[in-house]
Amino acid sequence: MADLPGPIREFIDVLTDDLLAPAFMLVSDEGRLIDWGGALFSHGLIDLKENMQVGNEVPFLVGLLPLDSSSVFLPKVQTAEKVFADVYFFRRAEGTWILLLDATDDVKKRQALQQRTYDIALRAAELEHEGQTLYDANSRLRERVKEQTSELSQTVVRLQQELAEGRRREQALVDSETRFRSLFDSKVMGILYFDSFGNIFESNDTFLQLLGYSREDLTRGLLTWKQIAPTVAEVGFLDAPETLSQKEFTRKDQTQVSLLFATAPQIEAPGNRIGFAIGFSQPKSTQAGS
Amino acid sequence: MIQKKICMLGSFAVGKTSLVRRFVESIYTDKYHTTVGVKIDKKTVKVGEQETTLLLWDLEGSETEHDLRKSYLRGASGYLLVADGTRKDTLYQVLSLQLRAEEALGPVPFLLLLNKSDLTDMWEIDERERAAIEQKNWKIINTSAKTGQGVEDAFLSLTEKMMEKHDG
Repeated sequence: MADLPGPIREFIDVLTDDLLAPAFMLVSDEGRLIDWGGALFSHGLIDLKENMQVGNEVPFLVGLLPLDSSSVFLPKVQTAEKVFADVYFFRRAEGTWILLLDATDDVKKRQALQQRTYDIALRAAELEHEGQTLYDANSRLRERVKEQTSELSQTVVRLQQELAEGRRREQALVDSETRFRSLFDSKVMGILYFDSFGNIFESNDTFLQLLGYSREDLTRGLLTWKQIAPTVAEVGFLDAPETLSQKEFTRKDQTQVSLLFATAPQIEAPGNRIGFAIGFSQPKSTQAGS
Repeated sequence: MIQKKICMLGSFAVGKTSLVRRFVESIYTDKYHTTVGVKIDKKTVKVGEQETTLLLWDLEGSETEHDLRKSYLRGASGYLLVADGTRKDTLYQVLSLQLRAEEALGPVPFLLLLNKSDLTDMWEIDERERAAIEQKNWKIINTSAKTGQGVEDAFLSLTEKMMEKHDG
C-alpha cells in the first residue's frame, strides 16, 4: 500500500469504514481493557469501561488471552443478534490488539448457499435411507415370494399326486363296478338289495326267477321280506347271516324253496344291505312242506 | 465467577445448535437452520456448591478434521462431540474430529452425544458400534434436542468433568 497515492488510500479508508465497520480493542495480558474505538456499537459491544475485565462483556475473548502466538483469526463470530464479525488478534508490546471487521453480509450469502447445499445433502441422505428401506422391503418380499412359490410348488405336486390317486381309485371303482355288474347280470346267483324296512328295491333276474317273480312285481313293491321269507322277517332280516347258510324262501306260487343265502351291509348306503342267494333244490309246495 | 468454554463439534445438521437452544432456552424447532461461523451462548450452572458460567461455542458443521478451524478451539475447557444417530457416517466424522480437538487442546474432558434418540425407527448406530467406542473409555449419552432427553445430563456431566480437572 506504500506506493498508493493519498486519494486512493483515503478512498480505501472510507470504503472500509462503510463496508466493514472496523472496531478495535486493546487488552492487557490480564484481560483488562486498555483502549477501544471504532464502530464497536455496530458489533453489539457497548458499555465498555477502562480497565474492566473484558471477558465478562465479550464472551469470545474467554480462554484466548493472553495470546500464546503472534496472531489469531476467528472468522464469522456472532457478536450480536444477526451480526457477525471477522475477529483478528495480534500481539504487540502494549498488549493484544483485537480488530473486528463486519462479516454479516458475507455470512448471509454463505448461509443461503450452505443452507441449500445441506438441505440437498439431507434430502439425498433421506432418499438413500428410503431407498435402503425399499431395497430391504423388496428383498424380504422376494424371499417371501420364493418361500410361497416353493410352498405352492409343493402343494401343486401334492394335488397332482392326490388327483392321480383319485383317478386310480375312480378307475378301480369302475373296474369293481364292471366286475360286479357282470356278476349281477350273470345267472350264477341271485342278488338283491333291501332297506331297513324290509323293502326289496332291486334285484337281478336270477333272484326273481328263483322265487318266480317278474320285474314288474319288483317295481310294484310285491317283493318284501314278509312275503318271501316270513321266518327271517320275524327274527329280523337285518340280522340275516353274513355267511352262506341255508334258508327257506316262499316263492310267488307259495311253494317253498331252499336257498343258500348270505347278506352284507351296503357300504355306500348305510342301513341298506345286499343279499346273495344260490338255488340248490327244486321248489316244493307249501302244503308238501307242512 | 468461573467461566468455562465448551465447543460443540460435529457434522452439519446433527443438532448442535438445537442442543444448545434446548439447554439454554428450553426451545426446540424442527426447522433446520445451518450455522455459519460460530455462535456463542452463555448459561450459568451450579455443580455442587460451585456456580460456573458456560460459554457454549456452537461451531458450524465440520465433516473432516481439516474443516475444523483450530482457532475456534483455543481456550476450550471441554467439548461435546455430536453425532446424528440416524446417520451413521456422522459418527465416523466425530471420531476424526476428536483427533483434531485433542491435537489442539490436549486431554481435556469431552463426551460423545448420539443425538435424535427420539427417531428410533431410523436409528442406524447399533450396539456393536457403541460398544467399540465405549472400549476407548469414552462416555456416550443418547440425547434428543426434541424431547430434551439426556441434554441437561450431557452438559452437566461435562461441566463436572471440567470442574474436577479445574479443582485438581
